[in-house]
Amino acid sequence: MRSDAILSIRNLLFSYGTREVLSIPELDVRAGETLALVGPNGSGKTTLLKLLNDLIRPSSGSIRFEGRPAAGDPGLRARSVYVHQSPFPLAGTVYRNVAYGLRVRRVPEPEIRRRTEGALELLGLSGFARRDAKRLSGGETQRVALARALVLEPEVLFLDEPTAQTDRASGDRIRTVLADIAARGGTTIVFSSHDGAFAEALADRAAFLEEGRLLRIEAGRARRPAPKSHAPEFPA
Amino acid sequence: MNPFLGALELILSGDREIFLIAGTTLRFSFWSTAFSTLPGLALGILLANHRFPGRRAAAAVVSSLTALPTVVIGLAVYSLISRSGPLGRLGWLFAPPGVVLGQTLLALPIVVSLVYTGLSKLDARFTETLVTLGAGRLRRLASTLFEAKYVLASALLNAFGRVTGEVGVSMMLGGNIRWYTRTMTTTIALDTSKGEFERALSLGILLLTISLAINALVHAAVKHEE
Amino acid sequence: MNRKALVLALAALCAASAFAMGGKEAAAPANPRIKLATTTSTENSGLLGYLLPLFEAKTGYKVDVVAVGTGAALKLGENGDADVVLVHARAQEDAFVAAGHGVDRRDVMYNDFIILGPASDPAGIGAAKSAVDAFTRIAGAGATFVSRGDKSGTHVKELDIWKAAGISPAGAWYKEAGQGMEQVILMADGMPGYTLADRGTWLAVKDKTTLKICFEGDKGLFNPYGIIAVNPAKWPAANTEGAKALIEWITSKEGLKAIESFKLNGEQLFFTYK
Repeated sequence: MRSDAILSIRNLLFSYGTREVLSIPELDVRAGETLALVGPNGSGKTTLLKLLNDLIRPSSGSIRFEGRPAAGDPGLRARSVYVHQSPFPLAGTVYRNVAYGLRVRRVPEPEIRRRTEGALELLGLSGFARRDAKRLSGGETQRVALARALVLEPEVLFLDEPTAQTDRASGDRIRTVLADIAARGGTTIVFSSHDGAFAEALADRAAFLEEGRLLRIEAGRARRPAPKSHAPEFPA
Repeated sequence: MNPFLGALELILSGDREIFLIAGTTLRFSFWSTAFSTLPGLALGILLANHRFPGRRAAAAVVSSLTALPTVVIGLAVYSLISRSGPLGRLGWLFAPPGVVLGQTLLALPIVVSLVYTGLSKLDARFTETLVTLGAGRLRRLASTLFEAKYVLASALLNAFGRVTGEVGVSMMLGGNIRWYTRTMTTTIALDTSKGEFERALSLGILLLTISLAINALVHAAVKHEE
Repeated sequence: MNRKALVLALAALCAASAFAMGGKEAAAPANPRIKLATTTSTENSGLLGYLLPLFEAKTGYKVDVVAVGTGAALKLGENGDADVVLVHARAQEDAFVAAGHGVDRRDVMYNDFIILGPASDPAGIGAAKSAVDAFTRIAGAGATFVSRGDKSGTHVKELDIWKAAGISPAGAWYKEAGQGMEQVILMADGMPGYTLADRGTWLAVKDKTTLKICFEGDKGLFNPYGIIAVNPAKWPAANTEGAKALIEWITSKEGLKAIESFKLNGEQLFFTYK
């Protein structure tokens, strides 16, 4: 295991009944990097993201978060968050959605207000606080879901097709916000995307998946060129 | 006479007994629905959210229990609360608690079944969203109830409607005692047996109006949910 | 409908239900509720609705009337589910007391059974010399007869008459309804057919039918009512005090006078022993 790996996968196997959905012998996610998962539909990107966030458990093999088993790890749960490709808005207002994770963490109410309003503003949702979260457009829903995740100031962010199903304005906004976070550093981002140009521009590295297999990993054209030691890896 | 006019006249006449009967009906239904709420929610959530051996079988049993004939429930509870039965010393037979007990048992599978189906229809992404945002077990439970509040309301209204319209339990366990356990349905049964079809029909229309109002609420709740 | 309206409607429903919770009557005796198991003939004729308020006003008791057939009423007493029974099947009443289910049986009142039938009287029972003779004619003619078939006092009486006539009724002409008296009269009217009825119920429903009394007046059709308290030794939880009070009152001069004065459409329904 690399010393700078925040998440490491070894001999991972995930199957539905007898159908093998994902098989990855080895993959490390480095602390602070932006890793793109690239591949066609059904290649296992969503499954991998959910496995990394401990929303589902592997059939065999191990996933470790900072060296500890990821399954049931409170640190992973508290410091990482996953955003669905097609996010589920919780019943109630946009404000309730964005404040939800902070309430769970028992953050004091004034701070919840401040941070929630900040996150809404960041995603251009300032006028949306009182709106019914179930009655938003696809792009708006996507932005609410991102605000709901970012308000937690997560160290690890798992994003499943963050710009899919968005209108142009929403997509641009999301791309800008994510680029800023990546540029600022300190946040590990693992995301999947169909948007090749966007993925390449944002990512430090790109992992190519096909039919549940990891084909190769390439360095992206990110603004922070990967150090030499981070040369493309190809698992045996 | 036109039974619709008869129903109207029945309501407008200010007849104390009619209001008492309607009140008794609502009172029994209110309490039996109230008593079936907590266990109904608990069992429905258990069935929907927890995997345990025999879960599918349990769900199937509950759903078939919703079709249990009221007279079967009436008979079972009767033998339970008769003075010669195990709970005889309570003196619940031919008294409101007996009817409420029977109607609670009638309402319970309806609540469980509708809560279960309602929660089962909740998107898988819903629970994943709660989990990834860090919600623990209790918080998830509370959020699930909030998310499904219209489903729950419609389950309770359905149960309320069912017990309001049933006759078997009220008749067998209440005894159709005037000024005491006589409900709208037992009054209708009595009037029919006495050949007073017009009054029975008018009462029936009154009852229908009440259940229509309740059903309108159910539909409004469900429609809002969609 | 929006959410506010729904919440409002739910609240209204709760309020209406809660409102309906009120209305408890004040009560004088320690155990004010008396459960009286009786036959449909006393309740549905309106007799008890006339009689019991008088008793309740005087004593502060509240009588809960469960109106079923005589057989079921006695069964309720046997199981301790009633405090007192008012029925009409003398042989069964005596058996009930003999078996230790009840105590203090008293005669209350009587009326009589009548045989109802279509106005045309197809079996010609108007000319019969006795109830047994009338039943024999009905069976002989194969005329439709509707039986209560519910172990009620009337049913027991009917079976006694068939027995005396040496007939075991069966066949397409003999319909066992398993329903209350009013229902059976209405069924007999619809078929049409004969049936045995108590006079009290007949007077209460006769305006709704085209049937007429085809046979009456035989002393074999005497219909006495008795009242029995449930045995307190067997059911200590029963309201024995209340049962005793009701029995005392109903067989008192005042109670008997009230029974005599109860009229339906100007006709007296029940008679007391002078």
